Amino acid sequence: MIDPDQRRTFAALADVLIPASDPMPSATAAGVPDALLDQALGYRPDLAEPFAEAVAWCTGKDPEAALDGLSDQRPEEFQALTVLTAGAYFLSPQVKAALAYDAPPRTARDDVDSYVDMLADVVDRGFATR
Amino acid sequence: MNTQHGHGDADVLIVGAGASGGVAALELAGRGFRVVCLEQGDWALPDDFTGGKPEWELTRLKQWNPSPNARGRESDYPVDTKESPIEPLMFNGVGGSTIMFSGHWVRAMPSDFRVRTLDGVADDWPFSYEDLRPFYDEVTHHIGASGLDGDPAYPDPHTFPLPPMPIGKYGLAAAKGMDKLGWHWWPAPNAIASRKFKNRPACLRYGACESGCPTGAKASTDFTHWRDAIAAGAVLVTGARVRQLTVDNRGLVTGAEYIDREGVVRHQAAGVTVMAANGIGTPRLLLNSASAQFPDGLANSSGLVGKRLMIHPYASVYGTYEDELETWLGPTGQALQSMEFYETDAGRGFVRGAKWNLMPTGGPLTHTLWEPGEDWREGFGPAFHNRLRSTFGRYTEWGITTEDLPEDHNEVILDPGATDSDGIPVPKIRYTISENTERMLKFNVDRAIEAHQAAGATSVHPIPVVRESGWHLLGTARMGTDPATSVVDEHGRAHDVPNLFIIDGSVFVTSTGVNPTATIMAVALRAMRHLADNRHHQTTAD
Repeated sequence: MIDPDQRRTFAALADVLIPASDPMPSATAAGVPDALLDQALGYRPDLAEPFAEAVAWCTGKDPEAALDGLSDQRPEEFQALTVLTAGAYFLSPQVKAALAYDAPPRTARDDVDSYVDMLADVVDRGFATR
Repeated sequence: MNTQHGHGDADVLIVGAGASGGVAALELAGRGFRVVCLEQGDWALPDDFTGGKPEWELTRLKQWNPSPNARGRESDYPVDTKESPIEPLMFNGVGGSTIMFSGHWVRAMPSDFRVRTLDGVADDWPFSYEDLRPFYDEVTHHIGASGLDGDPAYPDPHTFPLPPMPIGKYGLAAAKGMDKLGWHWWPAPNAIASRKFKNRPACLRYGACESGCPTGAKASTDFTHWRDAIAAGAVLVTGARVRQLTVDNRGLVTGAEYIDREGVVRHQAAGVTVMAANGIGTPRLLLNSASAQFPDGLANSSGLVGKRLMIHPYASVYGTYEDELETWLGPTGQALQSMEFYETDAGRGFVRGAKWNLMPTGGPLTHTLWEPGEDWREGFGPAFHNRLRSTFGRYTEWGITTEDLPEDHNEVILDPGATDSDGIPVPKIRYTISENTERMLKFNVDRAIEAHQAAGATSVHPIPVVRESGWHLLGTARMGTDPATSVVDEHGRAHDVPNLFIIDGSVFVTSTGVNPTATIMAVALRAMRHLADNRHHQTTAD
């Protein structure tokens, strides 16, 4: 379980890692330090320990300076922190909407018509099979 | 510890339920053999995979990571890779590595079987492309590959039972670039169902092929072979980790000792044993089966078991494009392939060549991963959104599979100091990239940069050698005609042990420069059909 103090420390780190940039929300505005973090940790329980260690190491430090130190001195923990932060961010419905992409599933309809004329050139160029 | 019996009498024991094991089981059970297969992993069903689900991008980095060392499942065994620049990738379960392969269904070229004759390096195979061609045809139509007939790179217009997968916007952009340069490209063949085929539905383009197909469209052998093999009478035992093969006083293999999930040591007896445990697993078990009769490991009088490991050093060249190209869409899978630089050209400073594949680049998390040593501000902070905007949907990969030549010092050995969770010595690989391959990588990376630029890329990001790329585990029990210089004959029969067969990628004489699964399955089919056709002359253990 992540306690409120850990969440507060993490929230400050998360907003440095992922600030807002229109139309994309910041990490905290997307809800990363709340339920999304729990959801991400549920998918990756192996990261719980390095995540907790990362947050503990950063507690009481300026967030940006803490991230400098963590990435330099504790890369495994920094990796866990950033994977969880970004992973939780992309779980956010708000973020998905802002990304505005037509996600799968999609029918695997062949598109040969779009390139069949080009293929004639490929065939004309030939190939020296040995 | 008492050794318990296995699963009844078997004519044939198969070790490993992957690509070649599936071929063997279906061929032999269908021909009336009593077949038992021991597989250390389990079944995985499409719903077990996470593609298309919220957890996909996080779990593909761990639970569905193609590296057994990263995945660390109970069914996996560790591989010591400290002396290799490339991490071997595999999956242990029904379907083997076809569960996680990207499904590039590529035939080797005729020249691949004659490299000594043509280029004066390595060795020729004991058979030709023409000899293997009917088996390529049969397995391609059996598994339901998607592709387009008429690729001029091949001497024969081999056919596919299914139309090609869509090449998408990113494929079309890359094809236009290749055309500007006058270079070969072709809509790529994939072991993925573009339409419903037998027991598999059509692909839904989740792009999650390499973490297990959530649709069941990919031609993994759990679908293409195992269900039919079991219906034909094959017995498939999962959770059965083979420790060593056993021999009798005539020097014949009598089956295998294995450990079940309860930790019970069992023995499966069989008249014939077939190794299908991949280019690392097979030499591992043969070396671990040393005995007074076979002091250097089973079938190893040549000293070549575990030697000549080939792993296809792989380069990625990524291009960033201004236009939205939907590069999150599958298959992953390949959209295009190019054989432009496959054949030897002496002017390039190396022999042999490389196959290229154009691939998409997945979901958003992929583009935001931090690597140790990288300045975090390059991908996080304000740069996070800039990177995401420039890559997500706009980033494609020309992947380069290079043909590495066999060298004895590239090898699989047993690690004397480490064991898996069942106390079996783990394999260690020692691998170095040769100068020939280094030159091949550099040449092809430079050309792939040009290909992206011709296609309109705004920036290009090459990775000269991708560490996590060792899908192709080849050559560690090579075939040949001379027992002094090869482990098995052209039909996979061990020169030293007449009722032992090896049919996985271990038997490759050279690595070819293409993704090997089509060749592995064609070679396995050729070997097992020969065994079945000649069963009355086959020596068996009592």
